[in-house]
Amino acid sequence: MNRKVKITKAPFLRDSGTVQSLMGDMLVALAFLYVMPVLFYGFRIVKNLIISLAVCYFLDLLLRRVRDKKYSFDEYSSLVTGALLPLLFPVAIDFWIIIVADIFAVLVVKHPFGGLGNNPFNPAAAAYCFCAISWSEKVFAFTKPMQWLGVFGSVGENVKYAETMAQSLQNGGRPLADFFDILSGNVAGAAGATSVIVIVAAAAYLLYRRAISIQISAGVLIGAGVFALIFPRVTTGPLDSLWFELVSGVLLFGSVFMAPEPVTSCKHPYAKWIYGILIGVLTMLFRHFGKMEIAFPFALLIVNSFTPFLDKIGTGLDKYTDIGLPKLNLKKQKGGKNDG
Amino acid sequence: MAKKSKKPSFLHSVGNKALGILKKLALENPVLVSGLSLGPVVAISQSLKAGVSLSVAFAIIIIPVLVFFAFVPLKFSKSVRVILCALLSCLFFIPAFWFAKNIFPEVSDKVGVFLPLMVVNPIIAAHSGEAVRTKKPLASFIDGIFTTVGFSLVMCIVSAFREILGKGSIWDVPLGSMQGNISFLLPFMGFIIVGFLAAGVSKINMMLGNRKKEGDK
Amino acid sequence: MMQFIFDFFVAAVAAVFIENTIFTRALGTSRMLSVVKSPRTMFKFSILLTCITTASGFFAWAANLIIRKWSFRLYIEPLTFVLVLILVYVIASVVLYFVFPNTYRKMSEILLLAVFNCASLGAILLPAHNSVISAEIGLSSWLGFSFGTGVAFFMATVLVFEGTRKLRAPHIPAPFRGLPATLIYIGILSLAFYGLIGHELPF
Repeated sequence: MNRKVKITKAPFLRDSGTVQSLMGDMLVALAFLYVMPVLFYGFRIVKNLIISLAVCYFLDLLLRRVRDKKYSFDEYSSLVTGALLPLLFPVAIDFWIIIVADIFAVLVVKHPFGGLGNNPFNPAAAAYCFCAISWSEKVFAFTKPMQWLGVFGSVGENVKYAETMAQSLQNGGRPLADFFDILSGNVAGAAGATSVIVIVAAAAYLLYRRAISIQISAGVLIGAGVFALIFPRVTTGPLDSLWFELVSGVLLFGSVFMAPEPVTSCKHPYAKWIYGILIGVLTMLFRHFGKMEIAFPFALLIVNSFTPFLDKIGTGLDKYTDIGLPKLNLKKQKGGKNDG
Repeated sequence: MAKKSKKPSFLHSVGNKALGILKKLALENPVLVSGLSLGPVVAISQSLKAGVSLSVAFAIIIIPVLVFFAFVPLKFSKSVRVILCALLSCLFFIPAFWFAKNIFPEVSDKVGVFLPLMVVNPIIAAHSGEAVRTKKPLASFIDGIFTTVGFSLVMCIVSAFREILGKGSIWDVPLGSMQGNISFLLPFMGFIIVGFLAAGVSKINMMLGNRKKEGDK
Repeated sequence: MMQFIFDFFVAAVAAVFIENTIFTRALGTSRMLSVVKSPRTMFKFSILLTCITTASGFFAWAANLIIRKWSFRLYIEPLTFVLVLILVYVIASVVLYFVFPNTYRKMSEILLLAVFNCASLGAILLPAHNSVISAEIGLSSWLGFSFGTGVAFFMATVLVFEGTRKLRAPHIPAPFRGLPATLIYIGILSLAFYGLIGHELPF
């Protein structure tokens, strides 16, 4: 049976959804994640969000104008990057670091490769990695929740900092965080990556809207989970290792909002599984042997470079099953035109 | 009646020559256009002193090697030429290293293996082929000068930029209370900075190419 | 024997991930950009490079034992190791002539590029410099580092290969098409590797 092939530009969408609706769904899901940091730390995160959105949007507009000599105000892809970045950093972070991250994401990672739909690397992940290396003492300084941080300026000296779960695991210890604190996000960590319940709810929304694919997110968690079970960093047992490794750092957040990004992730269903599992395993390897407390964005960048290769593997596996992308039928039919 | 062609004015001819030199440095820049000798430019260009030190060492090595190949009235096969190029570079490395060690002693330790690695610099091997082909010592000497200027320009610009942003100093002189960002000293920023420079040169090449097309009309 | 294998393995892994010749030192980048255009050349070059660096590691270790304590060592170090590379080139040429007689001419061109480049000389110079700064580097670590440099080059080439095929496409802005976008691409990959190293300077 001949299946119709729809020719589109990247990011490739299979449904009747448009790029705008995909971006809209992501922004709605990201908005969920801003609620808990406001409850725990005050409105500082909102200021970070506004600055990040403004810088990303206007810089993207300017660069599109420079490149294409025409621009439209309704291209929102940069807003997703702008909304993602403040959630990766601590709430107490200085706003100028977020501005530098936004500039790096748009100017270095996105536009030199052709802008929307053409960037080979996740802009938010690359920008975060750059800031983590440049200002690691600020990027990994996480405050205790339930402290009202000043909206403007640096946070005061009286602010209390806490060791995150990722830091505890890196130091060889077992995190002390309570189960319900972890679910609600009442633990020190990246602004949007601590509340497990909210991330899962956002994931459910995105899956319902088909904005992300379950293969990649599940692949990341399976890859990381199996590695954590076999090679635990905590001494209290493999189940503890599994739980803490999955909820620490930005792994859960990244598996929902960063890894399934349609431009940089794989397109083929089999390749998506391999892609996700690779990210999970590489993240765990970086956690075991690397120097950075948060490893997911670094692992994601490396696996991004494998995307075309993994898609080829997935297409190759099609020979053995019927599941996969529609095949082009290039045979001439009698008395008719070519379909392909 | 045929129009008399105007003699170009002095300024016009000077301008054309300057444009020619710029085109040679931009269109034929060994690092930014051909992608040669990226190692030292990306990895070790962390201070202007290191940039100048490596540039001078490069000049001391490449110019005599090219002149030698142009002078000697023998045709070499590619393998013999490359081997001879490396051996001659090792010979001229000795004065280059002496210079670096005595003029920039604090830098010669920091550049580490990148100074001796100049002996297998791909720019030298590539240009030695041209010297063997043309057999014109003066032309090879000028080629060596231009190549050195092209390499040094990139090396020094990248070094100065990275030192200012990475250490907050220039020529080891602190710039007020400016604090540097260590990322600018790491190789990944070297790649990114050189990439943007190469894009800038590519844009200049496109503009120069377009200007030439307009003049022809 | 076990200690030899262990030291070899540790040095090789360090050379591949921590001191990657392309991503942390940018050695051999120009050569990588020239071979990355064709998968066949890429594989042949990488295999040859790995063999060359490992073989030259052995001879370089021996030569370093002789010149290590000389006062003018730094002046003649490049000459010594270039002579080692020439020796390895001659041996490799003879081996290729008998093993691949039909494709000898093509292979010998790739061999020449694989021997005389910054990655292969760097694979010898780095352990030599380290042996002066710290304790004498044993043969196992030296060989491991040299072997790992070849593997690191191969790994970097594979990582860059797939991505760079798209970097000449029309959707890339014209000034960035080709070399500029490729350099930025390698830069971002190098950034990712610093997740393993932290922000320590490699020199």
